Amino acid sequence: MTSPDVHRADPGPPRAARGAADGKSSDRVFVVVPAYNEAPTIRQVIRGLRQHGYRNIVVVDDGSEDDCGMQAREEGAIVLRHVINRGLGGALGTGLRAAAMLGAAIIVTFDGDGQHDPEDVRAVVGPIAAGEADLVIGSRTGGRRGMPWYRRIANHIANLVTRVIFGVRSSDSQSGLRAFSRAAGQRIRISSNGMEVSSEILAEAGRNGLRIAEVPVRAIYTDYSLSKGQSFRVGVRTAWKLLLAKAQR
Amino acid sequence: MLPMQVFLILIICAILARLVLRLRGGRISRGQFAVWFALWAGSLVLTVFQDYTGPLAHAMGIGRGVDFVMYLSFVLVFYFLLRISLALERLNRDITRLVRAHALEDVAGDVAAGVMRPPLEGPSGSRHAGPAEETQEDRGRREKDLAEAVGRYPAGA
Repeated sequence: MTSPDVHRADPGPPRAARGAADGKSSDRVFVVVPAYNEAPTIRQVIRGLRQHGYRNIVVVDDGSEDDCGMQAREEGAIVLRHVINRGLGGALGTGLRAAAMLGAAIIVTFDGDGQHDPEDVRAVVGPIAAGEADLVIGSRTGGRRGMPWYRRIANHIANLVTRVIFGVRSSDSQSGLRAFSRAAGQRIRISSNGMEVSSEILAEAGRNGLRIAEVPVRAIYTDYSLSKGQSFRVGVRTAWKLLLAKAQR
Repeated sequence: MLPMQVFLILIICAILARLVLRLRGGRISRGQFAVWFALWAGSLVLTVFQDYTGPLAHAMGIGRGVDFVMYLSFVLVFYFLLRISLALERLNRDITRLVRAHALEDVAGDVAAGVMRPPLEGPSGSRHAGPAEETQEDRGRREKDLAEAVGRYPAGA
């Protein structure tokens, strides 16, 4: 398989010069936040997005045992609830579908653990709004300060596995901050349940001949966000699931 | 005949009888029955005529007949483990599709009732191309997903 062209897109004006998204264009953007037991951070995440002008926030409460879904609703988000926990892939698939049903022109996925900066939504949306890309990955490779060494190695391995299994090259295949055009959101079929969804999205984009771009984004590493992401055990399971997914294609 | 052979023959005969009962009860297809029956009947033949495993092993470059049976068992066990993993994965995906369809029904209902109608003004002030209600395409995908996931597990199966 030939490697699809992933280009580095212009992230837009410098961070300091970026303000909140202008009210009208941000109405076309739907931000999907998958959430599983994210009560400690969900309010802050939604408030941050709203402060930056994003009013259409779809939270997928993935069978949480805490009240993060209720908190999200109180903060004004559209909340969909999975009756049982299905994993990151399951939640993202539901969020993408819901955003498309609600008329989104651009769909952004944004982790609920507080590791993303709402300012960066503008950066990932930019290339799609400009018609330069169908899928934009927010790459954390520029700002790895605070990322533990084992996480860095795990990311490299995940990038390599994604490239070998699916033939798609990315500097940060596991990033949770992405943007899809409406058409891309509808064409990408997510069938995985767990963390392997990040690689599956890239594989689907490659299979559908979508234009993939990357922009640098900042990652905010806290003890909480580090506890929620990939671990070595989860990484091994993810690699196994990717192999199974490849066997089923 | 060795006592171990008698023991294995009894177990294999019980398994074969159970396979026949499952086929009669309609719990497995004819294809599944054929594969499993061939596998266990082959095991029965090798158990009864175990002297023939020696030449078979030599032909494959393996020293003893019992080693040949062990290697064959390992390959089969790993093959069936992979099959089970794939089946579990498909089951998991189907459960997700059901859970998703359930979660989306609420949104579809709210959109249809006009409760959920997000602001959709484009930058120029004109309404952008995105619809404010569930499109035929979206509804079709949702209903197809549900039907496919449910259809795989017919009632009474």
